[in-house]
Amino acid sequence: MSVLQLPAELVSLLHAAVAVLLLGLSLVALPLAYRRAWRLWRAEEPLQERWSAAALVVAAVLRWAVAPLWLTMVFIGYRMTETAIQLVPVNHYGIGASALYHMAFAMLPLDHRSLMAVNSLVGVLALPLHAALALQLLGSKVRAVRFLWLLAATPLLIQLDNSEANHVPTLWWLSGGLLLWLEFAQTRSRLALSGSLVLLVLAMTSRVEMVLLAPLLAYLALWTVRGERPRALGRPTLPTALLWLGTGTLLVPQLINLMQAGLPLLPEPAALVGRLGIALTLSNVLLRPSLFPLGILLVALPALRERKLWPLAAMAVVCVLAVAPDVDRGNMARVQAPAALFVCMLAAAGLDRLVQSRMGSVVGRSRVALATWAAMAVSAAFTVPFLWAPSNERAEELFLRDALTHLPAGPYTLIRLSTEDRVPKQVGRESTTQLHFPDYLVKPPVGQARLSSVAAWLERPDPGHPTYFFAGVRCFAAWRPDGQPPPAGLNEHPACRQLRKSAKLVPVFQRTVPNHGDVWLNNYGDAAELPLALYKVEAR
Amino acid sequence: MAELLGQDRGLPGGCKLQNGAIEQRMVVAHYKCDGDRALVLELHHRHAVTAAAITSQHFAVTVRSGDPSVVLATLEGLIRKNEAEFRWVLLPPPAKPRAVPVLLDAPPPSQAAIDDPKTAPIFRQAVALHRAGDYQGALEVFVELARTKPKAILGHIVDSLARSGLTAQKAQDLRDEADLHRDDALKQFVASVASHYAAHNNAVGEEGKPDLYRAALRYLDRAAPEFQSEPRLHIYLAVSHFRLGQQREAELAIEQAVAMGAEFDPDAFYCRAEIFQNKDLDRSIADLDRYIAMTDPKLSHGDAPSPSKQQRVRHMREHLLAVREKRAAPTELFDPGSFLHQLLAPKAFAAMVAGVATLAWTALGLARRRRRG
Repeated sequence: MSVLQLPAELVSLLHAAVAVLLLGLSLVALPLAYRRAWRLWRAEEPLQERWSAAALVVAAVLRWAVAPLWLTMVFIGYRMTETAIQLVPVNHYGIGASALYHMAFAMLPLDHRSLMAVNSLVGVLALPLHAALALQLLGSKVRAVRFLWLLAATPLLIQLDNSEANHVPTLWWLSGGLLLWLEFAQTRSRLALSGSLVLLVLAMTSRVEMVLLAPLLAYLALWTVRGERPRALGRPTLPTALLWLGTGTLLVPQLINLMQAGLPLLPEPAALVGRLGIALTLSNVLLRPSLFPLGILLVALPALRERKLWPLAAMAVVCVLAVAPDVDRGNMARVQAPAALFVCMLAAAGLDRLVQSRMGSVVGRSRVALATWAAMAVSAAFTVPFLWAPSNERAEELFLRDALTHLPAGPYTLIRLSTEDRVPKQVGRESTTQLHFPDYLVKPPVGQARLSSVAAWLERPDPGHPTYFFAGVRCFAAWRPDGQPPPAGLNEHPACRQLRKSAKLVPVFQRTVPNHGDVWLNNYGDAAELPLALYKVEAR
Repeated sequence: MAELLGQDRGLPGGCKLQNGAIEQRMVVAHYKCDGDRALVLELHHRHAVTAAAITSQHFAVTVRSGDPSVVLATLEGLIRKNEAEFRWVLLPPPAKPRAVPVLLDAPPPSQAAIDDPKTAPIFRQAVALHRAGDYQGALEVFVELARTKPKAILGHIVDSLARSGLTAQKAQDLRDEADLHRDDALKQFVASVASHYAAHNNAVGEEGKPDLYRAALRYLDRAAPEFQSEPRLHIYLAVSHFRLGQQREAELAIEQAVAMGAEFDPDAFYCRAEIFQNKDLDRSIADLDRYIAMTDPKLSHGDAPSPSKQQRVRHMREHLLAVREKRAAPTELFDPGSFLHQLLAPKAFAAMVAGVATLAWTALGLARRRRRG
């Protein structure tokens, strides 16, 4: 029996056991990371403390009071939330971030908004760790404070923190892990090594690409700090060898997951080379001024004149390349966010170099600094309307919230599109349209809905309860590859059309929304408006 | 019956009854309509199929081929008018075949599959895979074998599916496959059983138990015309209905399954015990007794069923006895939620994480104290 045939329940149990252990240990490791961050920050000259505090306050205000909680995963967030509620079986990402959200559901409602709230909190909590890591990698507190400001106010990173993306806790654990890893490299502290391994493994179990990225980033971080290619970390002792062995064991379930769920998603080797090229160019968020501020990218360039920052630049590049197999227009703003983090570090160093180039003239340096900040701010502001562009996905989310209030309190059947309604490629409509629905908002224990796909209801109607049909934007969505023009008109999904024909649909709540078109993915036709509705289904 | 089918009558659309015949447990009627269009209808027991074009007091009418739209209303009238004269009668089961080795819970294979020199090596290969724990591999071979020996080893397919740790996703894949081959009754049957066991064993996530049991019913409906005479079809219909709260449909289907083949499949009694547990406790206990007697390794002729299931059934029996004597409250024993999911409920999970953190902090504190001391 190979690893791929292990019983699903056993694999789930292994994942869950590792998640309990890692999350429990992270409650020790994270305070160690914050302690390290605090000591590093305090050890430097006590300059700019007010600026640091102000950056944290601004970051919190922008995330908690200004930017909305905003789904960014084009309906995949619904499925991710369902996975977090159930915890096992584990999805292809891994269990780490799911386990954190699952724990949060002990106190928060079963809702994707809970996920986004957790991310919003974690995003702010992670800032001191990111800043301390920057302090280590850039070797200057002034640069670290500038980085903190960039982090606080870069729209792409604000949007990420207020989304359902599992990158937010992943980056939290990654920065904490790297910080403690560098502490271990400097002090040989076994406690730091233990904490580092716990947090890095937690990050590795949250995203499959992190299995490759985390060790690579640890190596490059060490290179950056030492200013030369790191060699052996000293003679291994029995305790450290045991720690490494234990870490390897904790990674086993994620490696099984990688083999079972991750590797099948990889393209053929020849195609992979092409994907790497696309990730570096066409699908590179850093090169999209509408998503990542061009000013920050340009300001980062002078930093490359510092040879010791090349490994840091390499950290950004590997973050772009690691997601190459699965990056596209719809997800690049999320999956390449770690690269944006490291580019912001480079920009902080680049800003320093630009200002230093005007040595001797205080006024000149101030002008350069001001102009550079202004350029970054303008280019950042330019991204806002694109990142938070009105979309059909957002329209459905808003419509759904209102429609839910029209459903009965007692038992009922809710028909919505689901994976059972996918249309095979053979009949000309791509089957990759995301049809996930937030069932957890209506089914027990939250509500009393019985959920049914259109196909299931048409084949086996259940007249026992009042029946409703949710016709959201997915009734007009069919994914198509780049390069194909939008289909004419509404392009209604065959299942929705069939239900209209077969049953009498009485509108309970309806709203016509403008068709915002293909903001993130190529899904919609060219109709000017989309008629959304919650119907009561009655026999003809 | 002839009157009921509209013989010697002018039916709409120029349809005329050509012939009618009894095939196993259904009546098949062939019509010829205008333009030489053929129409073939099947009349089943009304509870034998769940998605029918017409359902009357005694019959469920399904369409085997052709477009029935023009004659349906007239035929429904004729059926309702004449069906009072009609009674369904269950025939006694055929004689018990000689004992053959069985795979654990599965009903015995037909002797033909074992004796046929062409299929016997394939059968042995599948059994070897099954015994080695490669249920997925065994399933694939059994399904292939079932294509040459239709229905001969259905029980083995069922058993391999039950043991292969089916997830909702895997069941979905099999349903997708069945959707692409709507004419393949075996694929519909495999998809339905897979959905049933995915619900029973591993139901989580987007598709919970009810969704999967409903899916099982849909695909059983599709498999029904071909597998009508298989008791297993009625067992899964019965249990899926019961677990969706549809007691009446469950009772009718399980009685049919018991009448058709409980002599060879003790699971029919096990399932009947489940279905009547809240309605007729004595009968449920008696059915579990029959199951235990039939599967007792000392008594049975072939391999014993799974010892863990035997033990579970004995525990269920003890529990039902305790409920009867009011020593225990009724509880879900036959189809409990996944233990793992109860263990990992958010609050329990958070408590475990907090426990690990507390232990880690305590260990850290003790280590520090020791170092200082």
